[in-house]
Amino acid sequence: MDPHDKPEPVASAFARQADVSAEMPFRPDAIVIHPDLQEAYSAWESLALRHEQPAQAIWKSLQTVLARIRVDGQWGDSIRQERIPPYFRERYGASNLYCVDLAAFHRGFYTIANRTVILLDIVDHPAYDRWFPGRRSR
Amino acid sequence: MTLLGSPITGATRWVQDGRPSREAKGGISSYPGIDVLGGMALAHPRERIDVTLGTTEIVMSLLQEAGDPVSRNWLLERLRETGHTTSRARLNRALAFCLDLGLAVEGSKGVQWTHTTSPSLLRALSRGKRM
Repeated sequence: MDPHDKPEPVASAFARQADVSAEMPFRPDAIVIHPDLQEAYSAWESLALRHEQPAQAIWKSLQTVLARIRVDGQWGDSIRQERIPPYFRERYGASNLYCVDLAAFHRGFYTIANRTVILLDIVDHPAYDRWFPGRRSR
Repeated sequence: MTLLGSPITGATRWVQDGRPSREAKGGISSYPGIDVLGGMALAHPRERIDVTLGTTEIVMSLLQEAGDPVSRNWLLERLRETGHTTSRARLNRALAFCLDLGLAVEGSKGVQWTHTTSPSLLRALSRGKRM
């Protein structure tokens, strides 16, 4: 440090640290597959291992998305409360919902419960359109 | 502001108009190479901001009602609108309480209430396959 440089005020140094911590993304404790999705998830996995398309592309994109979610639990697009489909509220009791884009016009939905991310569903485009009719952008 | 050096100790300090600078009075390290802050922090720990149970409950209910990720500024504004104006430090303390207990999370999109009592999600937490 150059002795002629004025030392940085401690208050601003603390403020800088606080800003950094505020920007830190939420890292979930774990990512869990909902038991209701387990069968479909295993089917996607087996199809992908047999190099069948588009399952392999969807599987690969899902793994990429999960890697991102591990670093930032809120990485997906947050679905606003009034737009959460009743399916997710009634079947899972989800109070928050996130959507991620997958390959071949598929989408994945997950919720954050306590400090854990729970993957709820992987749907194709027609199913997504039923839940979000006329919705062009989230 | 000028930098003066001691011929005996070799220490230097910032001086303004012949007097120690404001930073020096406030305990900021104006003596390069000498760590005075660590000792000061131990001798004069900052007072811990306290918050009432009522404020914490209102913050929790605001987060639950919002459901979506919200900012701390949004919470401060809602508190003010509902006649429960509080300081940012107290809000931070109330949020730290919620975050430490796992009732809410704070991430890239803001603070969000995530505590659940849904049997389906609790079953997933206990039996779901972890990746």
